[in-house]
Amino acid sequence: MIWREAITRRGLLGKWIALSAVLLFRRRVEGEELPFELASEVPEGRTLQERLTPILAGRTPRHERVTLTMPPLAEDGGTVPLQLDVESPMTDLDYVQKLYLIADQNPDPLVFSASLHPGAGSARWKLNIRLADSTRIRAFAEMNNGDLFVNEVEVAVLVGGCG
Amino acid sequence: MLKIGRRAVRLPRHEYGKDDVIEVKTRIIHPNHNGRHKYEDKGYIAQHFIHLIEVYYGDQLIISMDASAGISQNPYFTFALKATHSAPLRVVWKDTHGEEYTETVDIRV
Repeated sequence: MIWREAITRRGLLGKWIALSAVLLFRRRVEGEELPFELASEVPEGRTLQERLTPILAGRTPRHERVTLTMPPLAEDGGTVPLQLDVESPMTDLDYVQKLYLIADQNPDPLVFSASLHPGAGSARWKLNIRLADSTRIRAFAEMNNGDLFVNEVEVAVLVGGCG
Repeated sequence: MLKIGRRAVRLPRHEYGKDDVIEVKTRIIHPNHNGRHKYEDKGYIAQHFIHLIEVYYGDQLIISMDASAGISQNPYFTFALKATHSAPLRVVWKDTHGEEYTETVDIRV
């Protein structure tokens, strides 16, 4: 095959620019398809009182049996590790029935509520949560006989993880 | 970026006997959008998160966690389990778009 035109630096440069323009344009078009949906408003928040009342159900929790371990300072509120231990024999007669985690300053303070069965044999959990701001965190454990226990810690958050 | 729904349930590598308490680690790749992050000036990234994690030991539902968007992205959840009998351990994650992800491992004692 014979080249009709000589390969010049200028010619190659022009082709290279055209090619990168095409590739860039294609990336932009593909970028239009977002991997998530958009909403016009943020979801409605919940008040601390609204979340606490059903957990307490008129009871005063005792500061026993629950241990909540968290770093006192969290640089990134998007991922704050926590460990939750509840002292319990976890037998059919005496076990942890419910676990609740409340972060006072979060838009929805209830991070999770969970049900346990004695078949788990233990109540020791680890997970990562989001914190919007420096806050008090409370972990509640409700036993099968209705006793309610709590442990509270304070966490200072440098950069909030909720918005 | 890892694909949404990629998941793992890990049992301890060490030997464990009957009635030993073992640590089970679970993780799923999920953005867990809480609906509060702005996207340019087009609005907010809509809520999309794992709202339920269930753990079955054999046929018994042993843990059921109702989660809010207050759980970090790529939800990581580790729990202690007393290995009382040999049975499959099944973890189910459900998200707010109706997707359901399941992973099963075998407990052998």
